[in-house]
Amino acid sequence: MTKKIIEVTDLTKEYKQLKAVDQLSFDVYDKEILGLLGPNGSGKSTTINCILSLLKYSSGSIKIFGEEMKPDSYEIKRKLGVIFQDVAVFQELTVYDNIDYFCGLYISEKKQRREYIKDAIELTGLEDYQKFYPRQLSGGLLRRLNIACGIAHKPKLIFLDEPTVAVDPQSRNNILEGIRKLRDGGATIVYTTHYMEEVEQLCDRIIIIDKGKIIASGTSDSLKELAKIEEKITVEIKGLSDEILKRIETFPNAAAAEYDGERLTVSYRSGSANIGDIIDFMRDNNLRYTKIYSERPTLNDVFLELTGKELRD
Amino acid sequence: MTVFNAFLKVIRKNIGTIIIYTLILIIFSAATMQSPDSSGQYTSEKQDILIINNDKGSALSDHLEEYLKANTNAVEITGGEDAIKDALFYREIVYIVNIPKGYGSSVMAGRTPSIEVQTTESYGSALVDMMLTRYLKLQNVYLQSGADEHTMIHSIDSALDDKTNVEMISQLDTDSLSQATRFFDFSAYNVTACIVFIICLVLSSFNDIDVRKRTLISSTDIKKYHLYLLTACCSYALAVWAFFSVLSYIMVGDVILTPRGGIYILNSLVFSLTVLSMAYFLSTIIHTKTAVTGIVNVVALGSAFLCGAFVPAEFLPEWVLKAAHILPAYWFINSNDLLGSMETLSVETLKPILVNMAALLLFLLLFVTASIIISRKKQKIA
Repeated sequence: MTKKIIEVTDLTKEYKQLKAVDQLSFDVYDKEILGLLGPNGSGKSTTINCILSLLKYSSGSIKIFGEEMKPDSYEIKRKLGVIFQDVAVFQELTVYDNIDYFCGLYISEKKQRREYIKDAIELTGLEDYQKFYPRQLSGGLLRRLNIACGIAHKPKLIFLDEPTVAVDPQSRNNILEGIRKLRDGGATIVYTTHYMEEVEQLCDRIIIIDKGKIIASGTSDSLKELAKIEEKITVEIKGLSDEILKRIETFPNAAAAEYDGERLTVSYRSGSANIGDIIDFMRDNNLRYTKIYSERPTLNDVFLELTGKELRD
Repeated sequence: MTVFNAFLKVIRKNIGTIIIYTLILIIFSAATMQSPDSSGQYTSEKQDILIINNDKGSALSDHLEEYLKANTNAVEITGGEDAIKDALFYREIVYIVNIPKGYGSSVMAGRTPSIEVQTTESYGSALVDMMLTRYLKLQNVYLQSGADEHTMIHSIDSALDDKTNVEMISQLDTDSLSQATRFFDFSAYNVTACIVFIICLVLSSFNDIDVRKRTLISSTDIKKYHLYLLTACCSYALAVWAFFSVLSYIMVGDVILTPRGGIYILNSLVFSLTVLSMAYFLSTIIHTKTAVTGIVNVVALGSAFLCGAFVPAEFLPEWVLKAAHILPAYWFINSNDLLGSMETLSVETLKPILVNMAALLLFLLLFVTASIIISRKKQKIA
């Protein structure tokens, strides 16, 4: 049976009248990448801060590596690595010295630390920037430094809180690749993000949180099954009349049809020849379109379905 | 050691600022040492007066004129009464003595003829007035005793010749002491600036909310972490104190190698530690690096001006000095000033300095207590 690394049971955090986290229970298993999805204010960061003992929680229990997590659980903390959304480094220290400092908070042995720093630098691709000061780095490189500072001590459990916000595509790919390498190296990862494509690419399991509660959990595919739609067909077309739109809405299996003046989007509950039907309908009615394509529902559709709002709200 | 080393690296990054403050101290001290101390030196100054003797030929009147000429700078004014009035108006002379005709014979006849005087109501004219009054009182005393004119003049001369020998028993090298006092007074600004600026700047990095979060989730014992940080801060403050002590030896070495110099140094040590506690307190309420520069200017420059680091305390208005009591620099500078003017060192004479040091230690206690309260409140809020 797969080992539980984190066990969160009935976690509740209240701020006066507001329940930021409400009876939350979930487990994180060894060597998995768990994605925590949710809009701003959903309770993701509060949950992570409670797990890390940075926040006192109102009720519930948190176990990490089978032991209760407390502010002075230094043996557990030795195995933790955290990468916060905001870059947490010293502006006065070089890239190397920053990694050395944060690694030194865990590892006092100099020789071992030197090796670990070398590995962290390699993993994040900062070899050419070791003597640079943070202010000399681009946003993407700063994020990489932020990650290097969080993982240099080779933690067994890593929390990544939106590590790719405002990062260029090259750095984002580098960061995602690094996270995969960490998992392959044996680390368990809790990944918080707004970016669904990252979650779909990276995570073995996903938990969707809203208003402090878990509203769905599972793999990317199992979550998509929660969506009532199975296919989404988009047609780029101009001058579509309301009458045509009403006729499309009556198609077999069609759940909804929307038109914004440029794009017609038809959502289907099921069916295998939906795109063929649309193409036939366009030809029979002499409707000229520029592009037509079919998509599977995304996690955002699932989220929209479950909460009635977009993930990035 | 990780925390300590990082602390030193952050300081090293700000070494330029420390050098600037040190250069300011050296330049200012060197500049002020060029101007000699004027305290304890006395010069006699003769006032410009006009003597009009309308009783020439009378032994008594001529004697009065000679006495005044010997003790003042008697000037001649030609051009009549208007010229004399102009000279008095424009302060070319400060006093006019007009000895009337028949003055000598009238005095000897037992009458009290008046001497007409005109003054500028100045400090100089008051001096001449005192001189003339002294002469006339002596003249009156000898007249009452029934002396003849010759005996009276002789007796007045003898009485006026009486001089008191003043022996300066002070062994103080006032020049060196004054230089040492000025050095240490001015160092109040440099020590405050160096310690507050660097400590606040460095601690603002360590107290950055995200860096702090990363530290809190690390496996370093948070109590030990604070202890390392405090040790690093103390080491820095002691290094600043040691550096300025060495500098004081270079600048005013002849004073520093005396017991008095030891008290100057001890006073600056107590002050440095108090400033350190103040910096620690400020770092709990300042969170941005940009605010640090502003705070340093307010704290270091403000207290230096108010407490007499730049301008000697005796030139400051009383209300400013009263207000300055709430600043540690006041007690430090006051001790320096006392040391600079103290004749002898004894338990009794050192009492005010010990009181000042106790006041500094009280400030230290207050700042430490306030820092602890604020830190605990912040932890509760988190």
